[in-house]
Amino acid sequence: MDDLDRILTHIKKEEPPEGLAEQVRLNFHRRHRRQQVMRNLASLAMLAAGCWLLLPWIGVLTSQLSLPQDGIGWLQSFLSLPSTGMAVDTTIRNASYLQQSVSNSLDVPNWLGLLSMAGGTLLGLGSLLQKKMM
Amino acid sequence: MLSLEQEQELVERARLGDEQAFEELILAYTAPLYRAIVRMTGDAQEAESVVQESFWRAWRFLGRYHNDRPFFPFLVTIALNIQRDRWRAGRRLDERALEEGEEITDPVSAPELLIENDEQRRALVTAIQRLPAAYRAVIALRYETEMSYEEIAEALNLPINTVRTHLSRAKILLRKAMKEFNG
Repeated sequence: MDDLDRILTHIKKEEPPEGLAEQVRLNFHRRHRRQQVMRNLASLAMLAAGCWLLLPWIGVLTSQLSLPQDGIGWLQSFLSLPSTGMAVDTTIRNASYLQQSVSNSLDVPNWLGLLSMAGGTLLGLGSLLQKKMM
Repeated sequence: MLSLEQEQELVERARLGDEQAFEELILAYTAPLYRAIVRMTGDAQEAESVVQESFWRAWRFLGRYHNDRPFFPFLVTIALNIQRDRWRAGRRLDERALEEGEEITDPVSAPELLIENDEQRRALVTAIQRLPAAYRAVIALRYETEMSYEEIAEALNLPINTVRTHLSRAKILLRKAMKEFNG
């Protein structure tokens, strides 16, 4: 440490104005609140947009949905399916058919709707988790 | 200043969204950050605004912070980036840009530098303000916040030898300025 080091170390430091830390804290608090509100609004908007885009598809899907009349019989046959090799094969084929038919029936607005719903849900969950931590 | 363990705990909580933990970091580091920035800018209002913005950005970029290192250099890096952007916007950095090839020779074969009164002290502060931005930053971080060479190198994203060179050249320029002032 030379003479200039000593002088520079002891030179009068510029102290922050009184209350600056508190001011910074309040400013941070305000901006964080604003960010949370914006995030929640964005989440709601994305969920609403997603619902709106998916509504026609959900309508078509529910109109096509038919539940089996004999519920217990259907459940029993469903549970016994994996017991045979053929049943496994049928299950895989059906699953792949279902996947294909879902992909074919989903056009661009539906995909956008799904993406929007997923984004909105993630944003909303992020916000909820943060609130829970505090 | 907080210990590394205290910092790590607060940062970890802040990362999980704990506002109070981050507020404790704000209360601990506002003053040292302000001192460093005001020495670099020479402008109290500007320094206040940089400090405000630095903490907000630090909160947003907490994910990029490595928790095994001290928090203050991370904060200083953010503050310097903000300051650099502002200088660029105001073209102040261009005016005071540092020429790498600039030859600086020590004019004093070291008669001891004596600062005996307030006038000389003010002259020294003015001389610091007139240093090129890169030198001023090193001086501010070294003497206002007492950061180590390693921490300064990390904060400024420079090799440690460059930090040493900047500091040594800055001191040569300060000695020269004070010699001129004292006649």
